[in-house]
Amino acid sequence: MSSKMDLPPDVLLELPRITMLGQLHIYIENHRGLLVYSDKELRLLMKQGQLLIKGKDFVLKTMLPEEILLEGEIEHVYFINE
Amino acid sequence: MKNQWTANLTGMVQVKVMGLGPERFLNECMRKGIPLKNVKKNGPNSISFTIDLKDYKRIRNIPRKKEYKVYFIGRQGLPFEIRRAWKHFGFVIGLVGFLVVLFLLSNMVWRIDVKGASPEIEYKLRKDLHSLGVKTGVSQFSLPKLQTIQKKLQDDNPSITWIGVQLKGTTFHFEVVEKHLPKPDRKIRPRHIVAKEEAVITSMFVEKGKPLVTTNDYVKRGQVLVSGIIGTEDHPIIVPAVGKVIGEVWREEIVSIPLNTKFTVLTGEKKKRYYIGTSQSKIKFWGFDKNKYKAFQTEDNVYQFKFLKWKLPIYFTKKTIHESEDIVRTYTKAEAINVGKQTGRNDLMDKLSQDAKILQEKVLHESLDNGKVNLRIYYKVLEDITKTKTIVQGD
Repeated sequence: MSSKMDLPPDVLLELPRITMLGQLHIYIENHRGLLVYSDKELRLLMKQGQLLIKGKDFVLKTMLPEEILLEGEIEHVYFINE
Repeated sequence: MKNQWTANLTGMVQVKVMGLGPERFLNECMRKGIPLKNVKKNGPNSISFTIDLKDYKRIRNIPRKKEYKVYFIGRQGLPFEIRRAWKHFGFVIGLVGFLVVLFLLSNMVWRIDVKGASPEIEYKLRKDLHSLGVKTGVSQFSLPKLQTIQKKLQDDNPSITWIGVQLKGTTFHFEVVEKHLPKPDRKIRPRHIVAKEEAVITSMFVEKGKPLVTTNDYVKRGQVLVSGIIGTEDHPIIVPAVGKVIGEVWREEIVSIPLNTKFTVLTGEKKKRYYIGTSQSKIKFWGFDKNKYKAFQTEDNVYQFKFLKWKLPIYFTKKTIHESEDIVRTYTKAEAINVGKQTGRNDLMDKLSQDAKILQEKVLHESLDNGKVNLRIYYKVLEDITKTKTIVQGD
C-alpha cells in the first residue's frame, strides 16, 4: 500500500526509523516507551514487538516523547516479534 | 535537538531517581513530553538525568510512586548563577561603585606643588593657576593643555625665567626658575658721560663730574658731556660722573601699510564633537549634527584616561569646530596714512626708553605702489642721551 500511494512507510505504518552512526550513535524514532535501560542494554517498546540494543557504556543523550538518542558502543540490534 | 549552550542559559536541573524500576519514571516523563538529557544508569535501581529548568514544575507534578524516590541533586546554568550573584548584590554594587569612584578620582587634580619659587611668586602663581581653572578637586578633562598653562604662566610672570609643568597622576608639579637679576654694582668705576646720539641738549642735571656742554648745545655722537675728571689741571681727581642729559634727537621711521589685507577670523559660532577611543581609532559619541560651516578651523583636545597611576589606552577627544570667515580689510589712502603714522609711533616707542617723548612728527615722503602706502616719517624726540664711558687709568 505504501508503495502505491508513494508515502514513506514509517509514517504510514508507524514503524521505527533507526539511524546509526557506526557503533557510536543510534537514533530511534517512533518508539512506544522504555522497558529496560542499563549501561549494557536498552529495550524499547514498539507498535509491534520490541527493539533490543546491546553494547557497552550506554548513555541516553536525549530522550523525547518519540525519539531517543543513545550513545555508547553498540554491538547488537535485535527485533523481537512475539 | 537543543543546543547545550542555550540550555546553559535557561538553566538545568539534575535529577536522580532511585528505587524499583526507575524506567517507569522515564516513561512517565516521556508521556508528559518532558525531554530528558544524559540519562545514565548508575546502578540497578538508580538513574540520573538532566532536565531543563522550565520542565522542573512539570516533573514535580508527576505522581510519585512508593517504589522509587525522586531527588533533585544539582542545578547549573545562568539563572542559578544570577541568583547566587544576587545574594552578594550589595558586595557587587560596592565593588563597582568603588571602581567608578576610584576611576573618577584618578582623573582629578588632588595637589598642586610649586617648587623653587619664593613665597610671593608662589602666591602669585597659585592665584594665576586658580584663574586658569587649575585647582584641587577639579576634573582633569576641563583643564587646558599643559603647554598652554606653561605659556600663560610664563607670559604673566615676567620674573620667571622658566616654568616646568608636569602632571604626575593627580598632582601638578610646577618647577620654577626665577630670574636673579644681578645686583647693581655698588662701586661705580670712574667714568665720563658721553652722548649716545646726535642731539640738541634741552636740559641737564649733573650730580657728579664737570659739565662740558650747556643747554641748547649741539652735540655729536660720542662727545663727552660730563667729564669724570675734576679738580685743577695740576691735581686732577678722577670720579665717576653721574647725571642726566635730555636732548632733542631726530629719528626716522619707514612704514608700509597694505591697502587690502586678508584676514581669517572666527565668527564665534562653534560646534563640539566628543570622541572616545584608542590611539588608532575613535568613536564619536556626542555631537552628531551636520557641519554646515563653509569654512572652519578645528581644534582637538585629547585627554588620556587614567586609573590610579596607570594611563589607560583610552582617549577622550573633544573636537571644537569653529566657524571661520575670510574678511578683507580695506583702507583708503588717507586711512592708511593715519594707520601708518600710528604704527610708526608705536615702532619708535618700542625702540626708545619709556620716559622718551615725541615732540613732533612729520611725514617726509609718501608713495603708493603695489597696493601699499609707504611712508617715511620724521620725528623729533626728547630723550635721555647719556652713555657712560669708563676712564682707563693712565690715559
